[in-house]
Amino acid sequence: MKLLLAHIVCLLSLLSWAQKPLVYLEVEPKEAEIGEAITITVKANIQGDVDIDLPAAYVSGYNTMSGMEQEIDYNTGKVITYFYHSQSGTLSKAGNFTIGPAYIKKGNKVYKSNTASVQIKKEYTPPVANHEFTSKQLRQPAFGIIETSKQSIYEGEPLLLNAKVYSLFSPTHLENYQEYTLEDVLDKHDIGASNQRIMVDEENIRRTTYFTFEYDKKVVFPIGKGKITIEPFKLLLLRGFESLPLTSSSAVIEIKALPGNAPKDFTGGVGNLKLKRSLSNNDFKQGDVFTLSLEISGNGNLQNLLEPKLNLPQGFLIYGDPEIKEDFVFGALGAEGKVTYDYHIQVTQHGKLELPATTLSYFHPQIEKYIQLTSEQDELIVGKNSNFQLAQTKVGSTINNAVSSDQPAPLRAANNDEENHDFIIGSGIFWFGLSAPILIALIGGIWMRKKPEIAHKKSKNQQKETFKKETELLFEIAKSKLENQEFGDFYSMLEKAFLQSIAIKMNVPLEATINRQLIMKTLYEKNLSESKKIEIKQWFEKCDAGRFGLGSIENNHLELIASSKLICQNIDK
Amino acid sequence: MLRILLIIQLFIIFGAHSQNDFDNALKKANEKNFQQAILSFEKIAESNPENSAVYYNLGNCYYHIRRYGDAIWAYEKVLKQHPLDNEVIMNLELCYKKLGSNHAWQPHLSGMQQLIIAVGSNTWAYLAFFLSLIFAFCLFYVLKKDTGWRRPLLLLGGGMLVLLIISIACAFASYDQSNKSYFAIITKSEAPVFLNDKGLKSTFKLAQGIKVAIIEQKASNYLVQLENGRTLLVNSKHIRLI
Repeated sequence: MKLLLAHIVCLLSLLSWAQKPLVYLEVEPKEAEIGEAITITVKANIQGDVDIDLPAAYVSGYNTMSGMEQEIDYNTGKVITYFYHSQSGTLSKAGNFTIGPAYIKKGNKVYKSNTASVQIKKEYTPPVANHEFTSKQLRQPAFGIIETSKQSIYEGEPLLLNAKVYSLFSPTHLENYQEYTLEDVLDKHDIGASNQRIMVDEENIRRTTYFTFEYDKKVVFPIGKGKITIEPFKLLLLRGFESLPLTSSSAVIEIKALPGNAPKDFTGGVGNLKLKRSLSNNDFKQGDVFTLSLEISGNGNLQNLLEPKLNLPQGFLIYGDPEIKEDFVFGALGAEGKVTYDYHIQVTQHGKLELPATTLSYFHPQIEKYIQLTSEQDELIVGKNSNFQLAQTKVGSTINNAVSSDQPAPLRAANNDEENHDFIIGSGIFWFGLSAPILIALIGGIWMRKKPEIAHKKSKNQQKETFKKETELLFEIAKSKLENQEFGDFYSMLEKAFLQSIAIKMNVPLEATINRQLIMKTLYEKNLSESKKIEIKQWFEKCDAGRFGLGSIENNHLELIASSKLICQNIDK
Repeated sequence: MLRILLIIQLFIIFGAHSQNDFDNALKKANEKNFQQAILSFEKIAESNPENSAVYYNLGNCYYHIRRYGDAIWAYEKVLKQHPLDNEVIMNLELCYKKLGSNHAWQPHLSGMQQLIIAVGSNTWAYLAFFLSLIFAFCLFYVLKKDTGWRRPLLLLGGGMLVLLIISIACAFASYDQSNKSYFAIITKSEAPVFLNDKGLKSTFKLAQGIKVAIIEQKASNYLVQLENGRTLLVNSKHIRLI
């Protein structure tokens, strides 16, 4: 008994210590943007398998943590153990979402939590200046920025761009990369190694170590003026088989127009350039053609330079357009290398000729000035050639003949007649235009062909109707003859009406003389049943008996009329 | 009625606007401001892809800034609508010359195909309408029965039907050629070639200006066929569809 009491006391004491089950779900932050990480935390004083009801738009992230914590309830002085389960993820759609409830399964019992709602707004990717990170970005498990070499550049100046990803986890590779885009920028060149591999490095931002890598390095040469926005890149960042979708922030670059006081010999060069001039030979005779090479080297927008104009004095003729040789590569400073222009020049005079220095201007973006480059001037001693005859061309000008001209045919004016070149085939007009005349002809032709047949059928039907009415009239006349006791006429009218009725029913040609022989012949031809033939024969016999027997009873006449109608009605059944 | 007037007005305004854009682009090109002109012409081409003059001028502008691959693409776009345009063919040959290529421009269409396209799908469609009218006339009189011209009409109608089918086929062939892209031009110098979808690069590279036949699009790459029958994967950034 003592033992039993001790057990009860122990049990009661245990029950008093037992806690009420608590399962609480919490989501942080309550408001977020598409793709922004949210953290779902389930706090419970019981331990078990956690399962959370999540919306379909939820994309699970990498951070999943579980743990426990002990708290003291200062009211009771009891130590309470809480178990945590926290996971991060993102929502891929805008709207209000309900997260939860969370279920904790312990043994056979399932404990349910509250639900929490989170409001997801449309994604906004504000432009971010280099190396300035927003708090939103730093809340993410990974984020991307577009790195630019400068915030403000002159038009034509090279701008270095690359995608940069910061991640809290070490990414292994990436997929579905959609590059950043610049509207109205024509001149883009990939630089650096293959875009397919990532070289992960480490970087500290506000005491947090991020794994970073650069991707899709480009050098671009914007033109025009004003601000241009570089639209974000998108990618799927992977660690093994786990993936995280990522959209970078955008970037804004200011393009400044070149100063308006461009020298006349400015050929569009922006960068840092050098000029070198050389001649193909030094020994000349009147009429000789030599090559003057202008080499523009350095870095900048070498690919966009226009050919320099040579202002030659009398005694020189330029043949055609210069030959252009490009030898540059795209790098961080733009196009690095040289462009050579080879001019073919004929010496048309003899004696001591001076070839003046060639000048060329370019814009230097660092010192923000136009700089003029000047080559050395050359002195040519040209021997006389008495056989040489000068072509009828303006001295010092360019000879453009079919052989040497490398210019494409001139620009064309707008040809608005060409708009909607294929509009007929692409629309329903085509099939309608083709099928309508054929269909009309088909229907019209068939109708024209059938027209007489239809008319004949119509007249036949009309005739039949008239015949029917006539037959009805004959029956009426027969009845009136009966009333007038004119039995001879009654029988002949009745017989005629009966024969006509059968003729209508059996489709006997109405033009024919309808008599008993014709009707009987038709009945045999149409294989009428024997019983019906007998019935008709009997009717004829009754009629004959009535007509020639002279002793008919009134009832028999009426019966004869009725039977004649009945036979006619049932003849084709 | 008011609605129709409004639509007509909008058409006129839009037409005038696009003409204005074209003139501005042409002005920039004449001022040798080729990059700005290219941007403008590219925008016009997007909204009015039928205007061959836009592509022609685009080709010239690209030529002047020495982007010969893009120039070839633009000229090929013109030839798609006007395969017999000699000026364009000469410009194309100039581009290949500038690229230092021994490769002379070759049309990818036979003479007959070029002729069919040069006639244009609308002209073929009008011809088909005319032939269908003659065929319908013959059909009507043959079906009408009471004609002594039945036999010659049958022969004429049969002939018209054959011509009608041919002109419909030509109209569709012309339409198909000008609206679908079967070929592309490599616009990047030394465009890399991939061996698989994962980005494995081949040591082989494609030269700028090469014309390739499009087989299919695979994500960001195109499976293309070279003239010698070899098939390769090329990044869509490096080619432009004709």
